Amino acid sequence: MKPDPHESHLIHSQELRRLVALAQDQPLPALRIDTGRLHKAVAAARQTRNRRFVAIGGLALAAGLAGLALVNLDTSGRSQTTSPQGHVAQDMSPEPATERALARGVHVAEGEDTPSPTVLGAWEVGLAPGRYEVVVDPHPGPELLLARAAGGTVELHHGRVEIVVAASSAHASLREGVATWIAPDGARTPLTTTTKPVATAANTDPEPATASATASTTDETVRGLARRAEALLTAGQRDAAIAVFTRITTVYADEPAARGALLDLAPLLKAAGRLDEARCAYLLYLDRYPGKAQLADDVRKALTRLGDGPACDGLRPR
Amino acid sequence: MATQDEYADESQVLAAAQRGDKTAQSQIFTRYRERVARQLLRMVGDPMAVDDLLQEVFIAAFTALPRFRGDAQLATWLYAIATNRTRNWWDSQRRRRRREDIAANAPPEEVSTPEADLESQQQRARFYTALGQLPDKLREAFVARVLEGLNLIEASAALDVPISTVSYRTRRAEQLLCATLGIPWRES
Repeated sequence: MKPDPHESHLIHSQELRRLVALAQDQPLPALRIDTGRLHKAVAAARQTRNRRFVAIGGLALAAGLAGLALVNLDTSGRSQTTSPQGHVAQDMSPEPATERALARGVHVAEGEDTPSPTVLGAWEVGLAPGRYEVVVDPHPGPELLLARAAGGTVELHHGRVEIVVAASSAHASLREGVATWIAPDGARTPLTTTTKPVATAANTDPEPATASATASTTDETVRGLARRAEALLTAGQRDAAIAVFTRITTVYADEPAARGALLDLAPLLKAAGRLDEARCAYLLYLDRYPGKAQLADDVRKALTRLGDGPACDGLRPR
Repeated sequence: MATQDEYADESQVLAAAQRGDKTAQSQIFTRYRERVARQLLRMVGDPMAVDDLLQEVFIAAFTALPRFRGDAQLATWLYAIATNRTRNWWDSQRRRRRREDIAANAPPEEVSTPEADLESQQQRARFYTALGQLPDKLREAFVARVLEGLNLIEASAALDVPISTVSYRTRRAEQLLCATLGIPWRES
């Protein structure tokens, strides 16, 4: 099936549609690879991988033996005055390599063109240039998340902060919760949800990311919610993601993002065993977007698989 | 020994291929070769790169096949592998361009073709140069939705992100592409 780039809801620009059509029409070159060549390539790749495993295994064994020898040398020197060999060997063994992970309830979602944050500890992240949404769930303890960026650090106890990091400066906007901006000289500025974004002064040049922060507030909020939902899904917090998608589809029902959120919501509700609500979400989709025939078949199939159920009042079964 | 005719059903082919049956693997390759090649061409725009990428995709697929649990359709799974492979390809392209210090808007190589073909080729090259400048996630959403024509549900499954994210990324990609190409996003 050839994709149709002229679907008006997909591409707004006529010129871009033309370029897309050109890209789609590019003729496929004659393919040289056949099954024989492929099987040889698969076998070669497997052999290379096996050799690599053997080499790595050999190196690990050699390193282990060398380490053991060192331990033996060391303990033989200390054996008159220190603890038994086995104990010393245990003490000297390297810490198992552990991957750093953020504490439970801490979520950092990067923007579209932004590198992933660097996890420095359970309550500490490093942010490269780009846009981030940092969320810390309410918790009873005193733990504070430190989000370190060029030009300063955001200290967040709980809530949500949007941070735009540039090469040598950063802007932080508190959306909810309790947070403080810490400048490089240690000066602390409490962030409030009503104040303008705190910006470090290292670089006062306006830049694209900063400019986009002044875009439509509603759009920012919906987008922020969508990013939050994705971060929650990635973190395996399905129920929390359901709550965020529900909010998008109800509070921002007229926004374009509500359509996608509704389609995300339904399978999540189904996966959570909330079948009647899932059915209502699909029905609401068909009701709200009757002109979107493209997905209607898929949605109807999903509805059929769910079977019959009570009538719905919006997202709620009656 | 099994022959290709014995595997009429895809689930049988898949099960046999997962056991390492070369006939079944050949059948999968033959069935999906052209489709994946076309997807790869749309993803990278460079016909010269398709064969190598195609080989990489199927090597990766057959190596990982025993772990394929069938949660997704085989076509969706192959699409996801192709997306990952082309991401590496775009990375290496960017590194190569940096090394060679080629300006992002360097004119495409001139090839002796009829004028109309040459113009199409140059416009495609311009389009893919702009596409290559998009962040990976935006480019992948745009390719899946616009170039490949996957619907939101299919694209969400292939890219393993929520539907709302696919939708947002596609729109954002279009805006950035228009900006890079110097064309208006919305005609009045």
